Amino acid sequence: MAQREIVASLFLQMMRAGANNLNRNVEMVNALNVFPVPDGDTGTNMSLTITSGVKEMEKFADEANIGKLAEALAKGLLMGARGNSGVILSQLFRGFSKALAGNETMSPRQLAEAFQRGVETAYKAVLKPVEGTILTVAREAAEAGVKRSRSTNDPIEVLEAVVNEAKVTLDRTPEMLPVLKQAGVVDAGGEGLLLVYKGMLSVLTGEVVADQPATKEDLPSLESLAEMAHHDNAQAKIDPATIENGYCTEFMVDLKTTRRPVDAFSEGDFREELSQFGDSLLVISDEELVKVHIHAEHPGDALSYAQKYGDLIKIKIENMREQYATATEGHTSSHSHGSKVEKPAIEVEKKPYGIVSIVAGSGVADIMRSLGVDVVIEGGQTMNPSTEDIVKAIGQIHAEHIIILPNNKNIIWTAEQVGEVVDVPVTVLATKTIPQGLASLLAFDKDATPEANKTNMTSAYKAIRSGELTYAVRDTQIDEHQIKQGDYLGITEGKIEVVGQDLMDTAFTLLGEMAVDGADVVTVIYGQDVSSDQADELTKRLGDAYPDVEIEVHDGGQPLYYFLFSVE
Amino acid sequence: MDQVKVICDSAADLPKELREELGISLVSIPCHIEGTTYYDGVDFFADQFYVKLAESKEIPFTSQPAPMDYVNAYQKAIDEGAKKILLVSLSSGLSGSYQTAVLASTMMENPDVEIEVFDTRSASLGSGLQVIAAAHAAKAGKSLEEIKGLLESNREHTSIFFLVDTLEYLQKGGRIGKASAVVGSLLNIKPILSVNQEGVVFAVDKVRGKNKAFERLFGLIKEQTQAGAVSIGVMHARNPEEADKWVRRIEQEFEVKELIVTEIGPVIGTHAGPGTVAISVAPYIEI
Repeated sequence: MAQREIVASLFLQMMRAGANNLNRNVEMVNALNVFPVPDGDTGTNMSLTITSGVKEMEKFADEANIGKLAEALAKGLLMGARGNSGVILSQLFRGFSKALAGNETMSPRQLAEAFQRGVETAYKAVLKPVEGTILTVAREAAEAGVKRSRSTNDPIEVLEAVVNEAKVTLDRTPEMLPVLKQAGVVDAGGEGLLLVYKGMLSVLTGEVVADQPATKEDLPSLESLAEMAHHDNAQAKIDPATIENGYCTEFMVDLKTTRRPVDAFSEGDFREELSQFGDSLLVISDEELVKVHIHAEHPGDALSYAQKYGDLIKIKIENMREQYATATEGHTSSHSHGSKVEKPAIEVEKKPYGIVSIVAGSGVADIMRSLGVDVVIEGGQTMNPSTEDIVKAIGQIHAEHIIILPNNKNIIWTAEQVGEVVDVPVTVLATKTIPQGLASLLAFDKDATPEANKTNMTSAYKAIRSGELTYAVRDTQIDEHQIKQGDYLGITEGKIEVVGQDLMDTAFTLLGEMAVDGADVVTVIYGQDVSSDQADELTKRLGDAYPDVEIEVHDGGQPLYYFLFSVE
Repeated sequence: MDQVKVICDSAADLPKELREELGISLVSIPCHIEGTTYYDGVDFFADQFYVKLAESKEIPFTSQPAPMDYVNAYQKAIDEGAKKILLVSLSSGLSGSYQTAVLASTMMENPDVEIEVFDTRSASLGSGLQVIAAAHAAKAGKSLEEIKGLLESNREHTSIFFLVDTLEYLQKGGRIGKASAVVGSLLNIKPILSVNQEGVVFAVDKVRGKNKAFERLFGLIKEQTQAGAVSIGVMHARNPEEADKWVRRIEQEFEVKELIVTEIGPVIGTHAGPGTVAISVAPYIEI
């Protein structure tokens, strides 16, 4: 049988299908997250990452050189990478595309080698590779592909070998990683990768009609999700005087509402009707849910309209004019308010440092700014920012050196990728929590060298203990804890320490675990779902129990996390 | 040889009795509270000041002495027979009084009298310890040149640290300089403040919690103090308990040959605010 080459256009179709297959199964992948906490959406992160890669490829849709196309993919992935699995995915395909550099087409052998190169690149990018994760799945799959490529000239057979081995390895991941076994799931990142590989294969086997630009249905919906993520960031570029529709409104409609009669839903009509209430409209729906994003001047009208089709959930409305004022505070002091935001006409002298911090919650953002952070990127628990989001934030700062505080373990790698893209030197501090980020800022000294700042800020955040209080999104078992959906979870240093049914008791017990006794200062940052009365109640209880400890309380406004604690 | 006459300003926070005992003259730095001018160390002392500060709706402010005040002080010394005069001044980085003292010295038309103005680059007892060293040396018959040399080497090894309850007073008085990085911070941060070699207030470190601030402060003192006996000044603004705690701690850690504990006077108190505790450490000079 003659050797079959994969040409550029086919490669584009494969990647589209790969992305689509992952995008369609995002929720399934999200559900595999080991920790039952409402963050670390592996599926969403990977999906947004690969979508960004394919989007970049689409710009070169007519490109006949597969090497060029692969380069576009790698660039898009790098910019779109978010979350740890997203970063690994981007590295896998970066290696993949490097192997194709300069090639017109791709032979089955080259396909296998490209997978292999991807694995090598990803392993290098990860400091401490953990087996039983997406890395293992990618490695075993690539090895199987290389082996198969020695005895066949058919790319289908090579890719089938890759997919089959990926599946087999994925099923073995619970044996390799005890946390997976305990939670009774396979690795989420590995599952995401398998979905991409399966999508790619479906084009070769003809399950997806090869010449159909299959992306229209699925890609836009994910892009729109990404747009939502970009939203806060984009604020800084908006001229407040030109904002006609002042409220960024996001909500979902539960189409399965049964407690009252609702109108029959049609996405097309819904979108058209809704468009009269504002602009920047995005509507994504499936059988059960509609997700809506709209900039409206009268958000209430849009909500009332949508309510005809079902109950409203997850409503989030933000005043963009006010947001604009906050977002631009601190780094556009030379601009007069209300006037058009322009680049300063005179080249101002670069300041020694610019600090970017990724946080959730406006109160937390305020505290960060008060400690010298130049740009706050809203994100974190529910929506990890992409490399590009961070690059854009850096673009707003005129500094010799950039320091990034990820404040979340799923953002550290993304932040580290930024250094490859921007032309200012970047230091990423591996802060995993908001309190760690705050602690590191205390040690920052604008007159010190980057090395000294890195050392001092790192030892500062390592000197504190941080804790978080959230809730379980599903039933599971972690270590000795039997967890029911809705339980309160007290987490310290990334480990679930306390599980309880009463918010205050759980918070109090968690703080006890964090060795408040004997500490100097306890900082309590309460979230948007906690009232100031509740925060006072906790403070009083703490004060009674630990009279020698200074207690400081702040309204952080963060979602999902009732309390953030720092003990030092 | 004529004994050197030592003059200081009231920002040195030297207790009146000690000053008189050592024969040190004073130039008062005026303090203005709600339209009334008070003369620090002359007719106005810490006790009265903190009462007024609490009652006052406005934050008081200080002004540098007029050139005439220095001229009068020099002239008084000369009238009393002094041929060599050393004015030991508050940091030029914190106040224009040093410049005024220098200016006033050039206004003296007496070729037989030599006047030197020395910049302590410090404040409160950070300056006060230097004033005392100068007075001891003068009593021991050291020449103006010798005393100046002594003060210059001593100044490099004199440290001062202070903890304020709030940065509000420093900020309103415009004396915060490099410490401004922590102004406006929403977190309750305790900066450990010091006065640098240019005599400007800056934050040596920023920590959270009173205990940690205390421990860090003594860590800094140990880092910056040479081996050997020390002179210590501990000063406080309405905070004697805390000052006691500092004294006990410093006596554990060092061989303290000379110890002055005093209340921070109106001039420095205006800028540091109630609750402040400060410490100055200098090598003890055996003369």
